[in-house]
Amino acid sequence: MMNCAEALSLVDFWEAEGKFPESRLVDFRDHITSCGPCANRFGGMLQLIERDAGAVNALATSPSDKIADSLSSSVLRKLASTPRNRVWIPAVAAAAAAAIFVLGIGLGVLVGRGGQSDSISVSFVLDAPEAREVSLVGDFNQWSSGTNAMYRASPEKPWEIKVILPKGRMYVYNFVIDGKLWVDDPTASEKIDDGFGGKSSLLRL
Amino acid sequence: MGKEAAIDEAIRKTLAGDREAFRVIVDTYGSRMIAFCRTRLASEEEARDAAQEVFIRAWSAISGFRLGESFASWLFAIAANHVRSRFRFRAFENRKMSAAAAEIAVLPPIDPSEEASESLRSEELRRAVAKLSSDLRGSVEFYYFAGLSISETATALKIGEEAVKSRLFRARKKLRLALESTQPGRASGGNLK
Repeated sequence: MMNCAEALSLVDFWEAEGKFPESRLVDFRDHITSCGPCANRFGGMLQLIERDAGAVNALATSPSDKIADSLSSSVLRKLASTPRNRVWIPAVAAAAAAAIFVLGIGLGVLVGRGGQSDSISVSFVLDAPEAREVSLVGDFNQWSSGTNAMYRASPEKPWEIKVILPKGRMYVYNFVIDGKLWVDDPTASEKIDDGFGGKSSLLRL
Repeated sequence: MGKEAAIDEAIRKTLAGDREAFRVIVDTYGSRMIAFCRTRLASEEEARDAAQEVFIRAWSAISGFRLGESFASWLFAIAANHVRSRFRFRAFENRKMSAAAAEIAVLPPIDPSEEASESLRSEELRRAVAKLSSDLRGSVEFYYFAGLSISETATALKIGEEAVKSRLFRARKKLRLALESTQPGRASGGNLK
């Protein structure tokens, strides 16, 4: 039978190393099932510990079987009407991504006069010669990468797009390179956390 | 045929346009995909819808996948972008300027009478993960919820493996602190056996 000191020692080891001996997992589970203080103390971490012990591939916060089982059927039904995309999307490769980040140079936001007095024409520009496609996403287009595809006159030219935006507001935006890489505008003076460790750019009009 | 070989075979057939082969991919990654999407979305149903959309986008874009690369990294990188778009749309709708604040706000409240249940523990864990800084949170979601390896997580996040290990180490410390402090018996100090 495992005691509290052993359980604590194993949790300390797990926290430091990200590992938990699988051979001790059953005893650990039994202990926190029968020991109230340890259940309170370590119960919330059990799913993480099980993953690091190799007992499961991913956390046991998985969906109900009913929801998961119907997924493949509904996806397969949708595929019947979904075309295959011939647009090149890069495989995930750190070197390629880094190159694009280095070469993706924001050339700034050019603000002009809009067709309506309460709106302004804004040009978004990004120099990303390695990119196959670039789109502008932001709170003004519901973060949809299919709404504002950017264009370039030739492979040597930067990507650009003009958008009419109402004045007197603040906007949050990113560029999406090749449907995959979200980058902030390097020239933006204000940025916020994008929630995944990256940044989004701010534009005040 | 082993599980990994079956997945590789399914990917090859999918690249050739075989829809039934794609079913193997959905069956293999479906539960993990829903769990991954669930970390950022408000309900299991919404996560399921998002997972369905991710698989459809993956089917549409699979010609861009290169054999020999990590398929899981490729697939979950698409998922991360998709969930980010959905989350951003939610934040836009809610007129929230703080992404983190909106994210936490959509989580349902805890019912104290059910705190001992497994699902509530999962909910507490999701809440604790949601409060991590974005760099730690991303690593936790890819590694623990999507079930990617350290190497696959590094590839999906475009960072080095040592950086992933460092982030997971810091995340474990913060999560332990947060989860221990949420437990009812902890504040007064329980008697250890």
